[in-house]
This record gives sequence, C-alpha cells and structure tokens, in this order.
Amino acid sequence: MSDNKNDKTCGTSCGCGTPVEGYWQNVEDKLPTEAKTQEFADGEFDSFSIKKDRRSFLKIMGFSVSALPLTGCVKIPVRKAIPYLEKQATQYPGVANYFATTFKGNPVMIKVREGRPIKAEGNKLSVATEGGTDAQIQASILDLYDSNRLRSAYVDGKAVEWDEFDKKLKSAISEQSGKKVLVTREVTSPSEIKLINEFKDSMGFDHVVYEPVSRYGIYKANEKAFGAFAPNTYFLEDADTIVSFGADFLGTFGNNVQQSADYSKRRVPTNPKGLNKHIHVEALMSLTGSNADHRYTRSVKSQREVLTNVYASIAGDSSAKAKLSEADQKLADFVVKELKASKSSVLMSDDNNVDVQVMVAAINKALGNYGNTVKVVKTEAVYANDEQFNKLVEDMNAGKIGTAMFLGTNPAYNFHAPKTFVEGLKKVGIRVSFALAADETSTLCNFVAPDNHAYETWSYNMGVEGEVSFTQPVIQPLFGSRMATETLMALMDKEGSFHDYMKANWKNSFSPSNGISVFENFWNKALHDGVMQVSSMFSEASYGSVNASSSAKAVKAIKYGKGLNVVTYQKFAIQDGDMANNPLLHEMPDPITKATWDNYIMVSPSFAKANNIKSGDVVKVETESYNVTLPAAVIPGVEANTVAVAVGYGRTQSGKVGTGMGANAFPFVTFANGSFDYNTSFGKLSKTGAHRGLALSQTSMSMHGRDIVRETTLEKFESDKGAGNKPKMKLPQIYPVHHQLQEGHQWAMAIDLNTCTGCSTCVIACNTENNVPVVGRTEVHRRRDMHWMRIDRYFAGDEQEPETVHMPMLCQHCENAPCENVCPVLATVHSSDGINQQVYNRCIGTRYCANNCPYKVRRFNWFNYDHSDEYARLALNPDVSIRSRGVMEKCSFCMQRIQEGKLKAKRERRELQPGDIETACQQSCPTNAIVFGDMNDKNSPIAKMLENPRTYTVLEELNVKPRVNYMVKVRNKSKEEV
Amino acid sequence: MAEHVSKLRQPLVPEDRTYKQMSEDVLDTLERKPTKAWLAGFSISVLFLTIGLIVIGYQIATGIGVWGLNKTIGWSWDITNFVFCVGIGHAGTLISAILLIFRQRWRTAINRAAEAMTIFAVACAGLFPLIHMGRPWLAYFVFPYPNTLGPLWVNFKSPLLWDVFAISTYLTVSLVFWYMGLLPDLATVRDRTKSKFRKAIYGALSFGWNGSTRTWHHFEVLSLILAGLATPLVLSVHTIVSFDFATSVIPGWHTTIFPPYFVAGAIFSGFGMVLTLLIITRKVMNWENYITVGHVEAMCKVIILTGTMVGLAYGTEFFIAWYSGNPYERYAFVNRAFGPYWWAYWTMISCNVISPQFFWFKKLRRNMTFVFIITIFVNIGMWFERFVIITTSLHRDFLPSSWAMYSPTWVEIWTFIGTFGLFFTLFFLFIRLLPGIAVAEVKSVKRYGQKGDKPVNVIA
Repeated sequence: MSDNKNDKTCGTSCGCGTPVEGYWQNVEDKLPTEAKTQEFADGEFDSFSIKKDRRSFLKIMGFSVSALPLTGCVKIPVRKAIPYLEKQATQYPGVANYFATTFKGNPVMIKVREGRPIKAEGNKLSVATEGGTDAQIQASILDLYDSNRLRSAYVDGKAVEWDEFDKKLKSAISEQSGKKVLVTREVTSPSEIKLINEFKDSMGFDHVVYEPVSRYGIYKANEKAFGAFAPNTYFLEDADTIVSFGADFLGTFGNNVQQSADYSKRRVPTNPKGLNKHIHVEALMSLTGSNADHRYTRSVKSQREVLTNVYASIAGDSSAKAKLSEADQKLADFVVKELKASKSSVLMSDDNNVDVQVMVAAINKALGNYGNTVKVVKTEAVYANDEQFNKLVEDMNAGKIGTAMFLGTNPAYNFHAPKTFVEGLKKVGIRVSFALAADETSTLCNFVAPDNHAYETWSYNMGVEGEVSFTQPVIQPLFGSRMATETLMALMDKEGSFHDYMKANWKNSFSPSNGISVFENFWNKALHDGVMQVSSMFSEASYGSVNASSSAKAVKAIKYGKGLNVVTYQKFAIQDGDMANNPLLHEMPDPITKATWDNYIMVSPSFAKANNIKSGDVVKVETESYNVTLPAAVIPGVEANTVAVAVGYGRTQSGKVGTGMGANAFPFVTFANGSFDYNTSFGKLSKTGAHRGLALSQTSMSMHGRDIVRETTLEKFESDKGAGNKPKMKLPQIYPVHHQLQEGHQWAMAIDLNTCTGCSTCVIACNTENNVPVVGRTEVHRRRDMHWMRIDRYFAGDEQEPETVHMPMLCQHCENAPCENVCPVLATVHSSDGINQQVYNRCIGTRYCANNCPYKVRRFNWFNYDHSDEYARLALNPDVSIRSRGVMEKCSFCMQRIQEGKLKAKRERRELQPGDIETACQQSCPTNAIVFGDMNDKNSPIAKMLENPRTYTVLEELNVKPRVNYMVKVRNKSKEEV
Repeated sequence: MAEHVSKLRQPLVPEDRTYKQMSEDVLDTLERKPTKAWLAGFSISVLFLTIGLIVIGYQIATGIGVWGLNKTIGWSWDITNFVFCVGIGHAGTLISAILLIFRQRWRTAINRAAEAMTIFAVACAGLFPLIHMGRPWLAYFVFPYPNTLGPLWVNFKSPLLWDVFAISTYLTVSLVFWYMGLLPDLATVRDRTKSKFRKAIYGALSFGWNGSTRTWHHFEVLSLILAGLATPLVLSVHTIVSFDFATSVIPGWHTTIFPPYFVAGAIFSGFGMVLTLLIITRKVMNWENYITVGHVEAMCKVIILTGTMVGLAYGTEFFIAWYSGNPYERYAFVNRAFGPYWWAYWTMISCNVISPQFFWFKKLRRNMTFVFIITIFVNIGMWFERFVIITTSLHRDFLPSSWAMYSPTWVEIWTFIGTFGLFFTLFFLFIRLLPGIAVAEVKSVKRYGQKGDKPVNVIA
C-alpha cells in the first residue's frame, strides 16, 4: 500500500479515538492528493478512465463501492405527506372523533378517524335504543364507500352538472302534461314533510308513500280504530306476556333495536318485574320465534283462524268463534289463558291484512294494553299506503302519469308485479330517480339525481318514546351526489341549503325549556347528543270504535289457494334488499339457517322427507304468475305445507356484489283485500335434479347431547339459582393456577344466553372493527368464513316444533390456552392481563393452533383477501393491521380498544372505570347480552357476573380456563302446554 | 450349489459365488449402460417430480387455500403424507442399526437399499412441514438462530419444534451411517473402473479407502458407534412425531398410547415399503441370490408382529375411549368407525390388521407375488391410518357447530404424486450410481451356514 507511512498507532490503549497523525478521518483524506485535486476536478467520468494507474482506479472503485451503501441511509423524502395547514381544533391524528347521526331511524354515533367515518356505533343517550344497533347499521359504513355509487347527475344516460340538470328537469317538468307524482319511502322528518308539501303545492305533485315491505294493514287498522294512520309502538319492557303471530319483532318487524332492548330487560330472570313469557306462532322459523318460550308452527291460514278465536274469546265476540282443528283450538285456548292470566300483555301480528290487524287491535283493547304495552302515536310522519301505490301503477299503465319521481324507492325491483310497473313506467314521460347507485328503477329513468348517503345528509327522525334523533353529515359527499331534499329545493327555486331550512323550522318552533334559553345552544346540544326528548311532537291517539266483528267475518271469508303455501319473509341482514350491494351483510350467516350469500327455499323436514329433498337440492317453486329456482334449505320449525323465500335478493342492478345474488321473491307478494299480502301465494314445488350447496357457516344442527349451552326453566330457577348449571363431567385438576394471571387488570367477558337473541349484529360489528375480510360465497362454502365472532345455533326436540339456542362463540382467551404451547415460533402468546395474543408478523402458518383449539375460533388467511377497492379501503380501521395470507387470526378482545381506554384513563390520571372499555361486539349488542371488563375490579359488572350462579364456562372439563363466560338460559315455560 | 452342511442355518447366499463374481453381480449395473426399464422408470419419476414441483410452486405463489383445508380441518393430506413418509423411513435404520446390534447377519443384503430408502423417505417427509406452512419463506423461524427479535424465539414447548430437531437429527445420523457404510464398496467401484473420470469421482467419494486392517478396524468401530446412536433415534423419531398429536387436546389425538403405537406402525409401514421395493429390485437386478426368499420371509415376520401390534393399538384406543367415560372421546372413535369417513377407517383396518395375518402361512410368506400384493395393502393401510387419525379427529371435535368435511383438491393429489416422483427419482439414481447391496458385508456372510463357516466379524 502506498500509505504505509501512515501506519502509526496512538501509542496508548485508551481507544479514545483522538486523531493521530496519519490516521485518516474521512475518505477524501485517504485518497492520494492527485485524486483529490485532479480527478474530481476533471469531472467524475474522467476519473474512471483507464489512463490513470491501476491503483487509483482500484481506490476509486473501492470508494464507490463502500459509499454506495451509505446512500441507502439517506432518508428518502415522503412525497405525499399533506401537512395540517389548517388543523381543526378537535382533530388529532390517531384520535377518533364521534359524531351523532341517524341511520334508518336508529340513533347512531359515527367514529371518524382523520376525517374518515370508519364505524357506526349505537348512541347511548337514546332512551329508545340505549346504544344498541343492528346488522344493517353496523354494515352501513361500507355502503357509504360503495364505489358503485353514482358520481354525478344524469340526463338521458349522460353525466351532467347539477345546474344543467336542474335547468333541464325544470323545463321538462313544465313541458310535460299529465299528473305528477313524487314516490317516497316513509318520511319521518317533519321538515322533509314540510318541504315535500311545499313541493307538492308549488309544483303540482302528488305524494305517494311506498314501502316494499309495508305495514299498511296496521296503519289502516289504526286509522279505523284510532283515527290515526300510524304504526304501533311497543313497550315490551312492560309486557309480562308477549304473544306474536308471525311478527319478527327482534329482527325485521317494527323498531327492532328498541324492541330488542326492551324485550331483553325482561329476559333477565332476576328482573324484579319477573321474566316475561314469549309465545310465538309462525309458519317459518324466524329469529324472534327461535327465542320464544313457547313456539308453535302454524300455517298462515291457521294463524288467522287461531287469532280469530282468540279475538272471539278475549273480546267476547262469540259470533266470531269458529270450529278449529283440535290442535289449533288447544293453541287458541292456551293463548287466551296466558293472556288473561297476565297483568300486562301485548299481542302482535305481522299480517298485512287490515281485518286481521283490526282484530289484533280489538284484542289489545280488550286486554287493556293500549297506553301500557302498545301505543299508537300520532306524529307528522307519513306512512306507506299500499292502495295508493297500487293505484299509481294502474294510472301509470293507463297513461295518466306524466312525471314520476322515485325518492329512495325502487319499485322496478320490489313491486310485486315488476313487469306491470316497468310497462307503466315506460308510459311516463319524465322519470326521475334519486338512487344512490344505479338500480332497477334508475336505469329506466331519464333523469337520475343521486341522493347522498345517510351519513352525508341533514335530516331528523321522529323516533319512538318521544325521541327525535338528528341526522348530520359526518363527511363531505364522497361522490358527485346531492341531498334529495336539496334537489327538490332546487326544482322549486328555493334558496339556501336544506340544513338552513330545517334549522329555521326548529328555530320557529323553539321555545326555551329544560334550562336552554338560546336556540343556538339547543341546536348544538341536539347535534352533539343526536337525540332529544321532544314529547310535544308526539301525541298518543285514543281508541275510538271499530267494527271488529265484521273484520272477523271478513278474515273467515278469505279464500285461500290450493297447494303449497309460498310465503315471503325478510332476512335480518338483507331485509328488503336496499343494501344488497353490501358484502358484509351477504356474508353474515343468517341467525336461523346459518346460510350466507344466497337466498333459498326454506322447507320443513317433513316435507323434505316426503319429497326426498336435501338441503342444497335446487328446486323450483311456482305459482300461477311467477316462479323461482333456488336451492332448498331444510329447516326445522317450518310448517309442513309452507315454503318460505326471502325477499331482498335477485337484484339485477345492484353493483358487483348484489347483482345476480339469489332470486327475487317480491313477485310472490300479492295485492289482496286492499293491501300487499306477503304470505298467501299458493303453488307447487318441483325438483330440478341440480344441486347447489348452500354456503353455510355451520352444518351440524344439534348439540349432540353435549354440555355446551346450558338451560333451565323458570320454575327450577326460582327454587335454585344455579339450576341447570351442573357440569355433566368434572375432571380432576393437577395443574396449579397461573399466578401471573392474578394481578392487575384481568380481562374477561360474560355473555348472557338469556338475553342474547342470536341476531348476529356483533358479528358485523367485529368485522368492521377488526378489518375482518369478506371471503365470498365459494370460500364460505368451503368452510373458510373468517368471522372472529360467530353465533352457534343448535336445535333440539321435535323437528316441527324445535327449541333453538344461540351461542356467541369467539376466542375464549383461555388461561391455559391449548393454542399457545403448540406454536413452534411463539406467534401466539399470553399477555399479563389475560389476553391470548396473536403476533401476525411472527406467524408462519402451521395451523397447529387452530387444530388444537377446542372452540375452533381461529381463522386462517388462506389467500391474500381483497382490500383493493380504493373506496372500501377507507372504511378500514387504522388501528388494526390487515393480515397477509398464511397468517392465523382471531378475536383479540378488541386489543386496540383496551389500549385506547387504558391510555385515556392514564392521561386523565385516574383509575380505569367500568365502561371505559367496550369491545365492538359489546357496543353493538342491542340487548346488552355481552359484558366485558376487568374481573379484578370487584365493583365492575363483569366481576359481579362472574359470581352469578348462572355463570359457567364452555368445556370447563378441559381445564383450559376460558375467560369468556356464559350464563344459563332460563326459559319461562308453562306447566301445561299445547 | 455349495455343499450344504448346516441343518440349522439356511445359507444367506445360496449359490456358490466367488468374491469376484459377487462384486460383479452387484457392481455391474454401475458399469454398463442403463437398461430400457431403468430409463422408462426414471423418466416417469422425473415427470411426476416435475409436475409435483410445478404444483408446489403454484401453491406457494397463490396461497395454501388451493388445498381443500378449512377452518375446522387445518391439516389433512399434508401431515398425513408427512407422517407416512417419516414412517416408511423407519425400516432402513432399524435394519442397519438395531439388527446390527442384535447381530442379525441376514440384514447385510438388504441394509444398503433399505437405508437409502429411509433417507429418501425422510427427504420427502421434510418437504411437507415446509410447504404446509402459510408462509414457507419464513420457515427459518423454526430454527433457534440468534437474532435481534428480543423475546421472540422458538417455543421449546411445541411438539412441532421437537419435530424439527427429531427429523433433522434422524436424517443426519441416517445419512452419515449410510454413507459411511458405502465407503468400502465405493472403493471397490473405484478400483474396478477403467475410466479416469469415474476413478476420480469414486476415489473422492471413498475418502481414500485402502482396505488395510487399520481402515477396517476404524470402519467397524465407527459402525458400532453410529449404530448405537441411531438405535434410539429409530424409536425417538416417531415417538416425537406422535407427540404432534398426543400432546394436543383433540379427542382422537390426545392419547398416551401414541408413541409405541406410532413406532410399531412406522416399522410396519417401513418394512412394507422395503419389501415392495426389494421384491421388484431383486427381480430386475437379478439379485435373487442375495436378497433371498429367506430375507423376504424374515421381513414378513416383522410385518406380522408390528401389524398385530398396530391392531392391538386400534383395539386399545377403542377400549380406552369407552372406559374413560369421556363422551367426546367416545364419540371421536364411534365417528371414526361409523361416521362419514367410515370407509377410510375400514380400509385401514383391512389393510393393516387383516391383510398381514396371511403371513402366518409359510407358503404365502414365500410367494413373492402374494407378498408384494400384501405389502401394497400395507402401504395403503398405513397411509389411511394417518389420514384417519388426523382428519377424522379434526373434522368432528368438541363443538358440533364447527364440524366440517374435507376432500382434497387436485393440488394436494398432485403434490402427493410428486412426492413419489421425488422418492423414485432418488431411488433410481441410487440404483444406478451406487452399489445397491453392501457387497463387502455380504462377502462376509458368503459362507454362512455352509461348510467351514466360522463367524467372521466383519462388523461388530
């Protein structure tokens, strides 16, 4: 080396690094003078030319090679960082804001992170829902980000600016002859009604209210009996006995969230008012029926007959009494006896026949239920009118209608005679749709004015129990849509925004009360809380008089068709199909059938046996006017001569998820006796020979006599609080307790099987909170659903009259977790606060943990699941990582929420309080069946629940010591049954 | 024919062959061009291997979801194949180590091929734990290498980690033992060959073996040491593999009988596979003079013994399931025999318990065609045994809500066929490139049972 004259040492062994002559401090020093001064001066490329000597060439090379890695250490500037130039005062990166709003009539809180709405939660201030939600609310965020939504207004299929749209539509309307009609769904916001009325007056429109699944029968009956065209409001907390004829009040009938909350309070056996008694009569197995104490399978005709005799006995109308079959008469007697024996009761029916509802009203009147357990409340809200809409379709076909506007309605899909409607619509000159995304009706319209999603909208809603809930935008409109109300305002040449309009209405009616004297304070509080008691806007109607006797005669005179009774129903997730493009709802296993992604034809086991049909066999159900070909689902509790098909499927225009999923069942609905009848089509069923396996999340129906769901009866419970809670098997333990799992916070959960209705709202809440992927029909069919939380459903007893139990099943966070010791790489470990953790980055995917899990709650990422939709991605929770393929995942007890709660308490320098931390499933539950907390906090609800004699753990004999506890189900069974 | 003097001992090499002739008999194949049969067999094996590799590549690129597994059944064909392959890799070391220690001198003719088969089977087995992982590119996480991940290291409580050590140790010791045994024969090949190229290669491979007494002495001492090391491994490997199941909580897996039951099963299947291969090999290679009917018969006896042990284990499991009074345990076994996978269970019983019983008859034991057919049944039965244990236990465990069914996809089927491709490719190469019979050792038993036979302690 040329530099060996520099080989001098410091002379000490201090290692101080003091520069000593000859030791080079940087690379330039090391270079020979010539290279330093000349080669770089000559320009960089010259230095590499071979004319220099070999040594300097090598040195340059050495320098370059050693410098190259250094460039890797340079921080590459982030190119797309957007600085908070104007940070809002309340916004902090990583901290969520919550805004109160309303979805489908239910008060909700929307969690917003960095401007993005990511989760819907219940609003705890609501006296009606008490913070509960349902599956559609939980899934609603994904609809907001649906990339299928329209991006602008359209005229004759061409995208136009809103100004141009308004101009064109206005001139078109003014030039068009014929009647003008505005078709909306039920409108419960007085300001919207006021605006619609102004629109009607100034533009000469008629207003028709249409609901695909209507409760017109109830409204009309109430109009007759109370003089109020309004729904019933049920107060189930006050009812000792609930008798339901087909009304799925925990699922799809009425205010299901409020009803579930009230119902569940009386399902706690220690409630001082006592356990309620729930008698359910229905033709198919419904969510509500599966929770009943006594459930009876009866055809729709039998239900009406039994109801008529119940009416005859209770209202004392002997003329209405008819001779029934022995079993039906026994049932009627049983219902009458139970109703008469109880101090407060309620009877309801989902029958849309007006005469049936008149009888129901007469029964409730005779029992003195009005004003107590059921109320007819008059508000400014407008409700569906089947007759008017049916008349409208007739008028359209007669060419009388010149202009038709469809706000939130999609009759081309969900009218019972879609072809007639479409034919009629073609005769309408100006066809306007306000659809968010292209649907069956909007594609037939020449004007499309896409409405905002509920979360981009101003409105308010007349709720129940004297509550008004407010709707406010939680994000700027994502696409080029405009609130339908503002489109109406634009057509009327009305200035300002709908927000100002509705605020002005409130201001006009504002009077200082509740210590709020300034309107702005009232307004801010209203928007902050989202709900407000404004009882002045509600008035209870009183029962006048109605000729129920003639109704009873009319019901008896109804003629039924021959053959198989084809009934339609709504599934809890999909309901009437307006959210059919939501994959979360499609993948939610139906609470009863556990089927995903499809509709199917529910048949009874006895019918299936007689006709040799197995679940999944494709069958054709045909009536005179319509037929569908779908797989069969053999489900206990379906009436032998009844087949049931869910509506809401078979959309032909619904985006990439909903289009073509299942078959449309709306055409099985008939228009009979002045209302839509959902249950009285008759026809036949034939096998096609094809097979299409249902995508079931659970295939085994029975508990096989195992000690999984424990239950008892109220009678036994009253003498022994621990009744039914004796383990069938107790194995000796030789292992010591985990001492490290005694101190500090120890998280645990308790799920009350008596209040859990199995509705599966928590399943979707968990999906959205934890970014659980949707895997699609094929993968669910291969038994690869990814749900961290699932609801196990077991049937017991007779196939025609089964008993059903629901059991939410999630990671049990076992103290002696069998999954932990088998992982070769420690990818699943226990935290000191008792949580079984999954370390995604460490997981290599041997799946041993899932095999060794006795509860089978671990889920494996078989593929890289799709998160590529640029809009749907915005709904992902930034606190939870997306799992790659080959990685195991499972319930984390909402670790991110625990962490957030702990940090909040720490920041506020206080102890963690019960309620600081709520898991997503717990938050979403409409019946508060899930309790979560620190079991070491002796005052917390969880600690108290763990001491409850009803509490047990599943498979306790394995000594895995689960942290998820269950509480014995107590059924309120009468001694005598039918 | 040599003059047969012993009334008690059958000669191990029936025909009178000179040492030179013996060398030629065995080493000839190495020195002539490959036969058509070899070429055909080798080509088919390579074809299957190639398809297997393509299919595995597809699976790794796409995700394990291309298999038929689901949320309930996390292992099926993958681990079935793994245990099956480990099982058939049991005979070789047993023959070379345990039989050596017990001075069963008949083993000399078959130990080379059996050991080779062991190594190839273990190589195939090693494939499955790797490709069954969700993220095989992170497979190195299972090794306790020093790293900066803090507390994240391997889990010494996990039977899968024990597998890593057990299998790799077994493979290493078997390989060393096998290779060491090859040395004298490799030297013979070296000495016989005229080609410089071959001489160089075999010369290097034989580590300069010079045949001196000293060399032989070292060789024998080393053989004994390795045999001593390998003997416990024969028992430990499958014991540890059985821990994958025995230490779990799943009914049907959680069983203390598994270690001896698995070891017996492994020896059973190992001998089954050795017989399948050797019956063909002795015919094709004209080695009937070395791998005699007596050898086959001896192995058949091992098969009866181990097959009956396995049958006893099946019965014991059922008895204990009933006797335990544990409803999950009872259901698991009733479900095995009468559930949806009943056909797999009864295939297993017929192949493993019933078919070996024919070997009680000497005539049948000495009928090569019959023995061959039975060994095929044994192979099928032992594959099904693992399938039954793994799949039928998993598919219906504690909570009926998660019960599911499993069926393989084409990817799994081709992966399995590809494994056979790998196995036979290696076997064909072995037959072609290395002495398939340990000539040096067979020479030592040439006079066994004949006039003038004095125990020549070649080994031990």
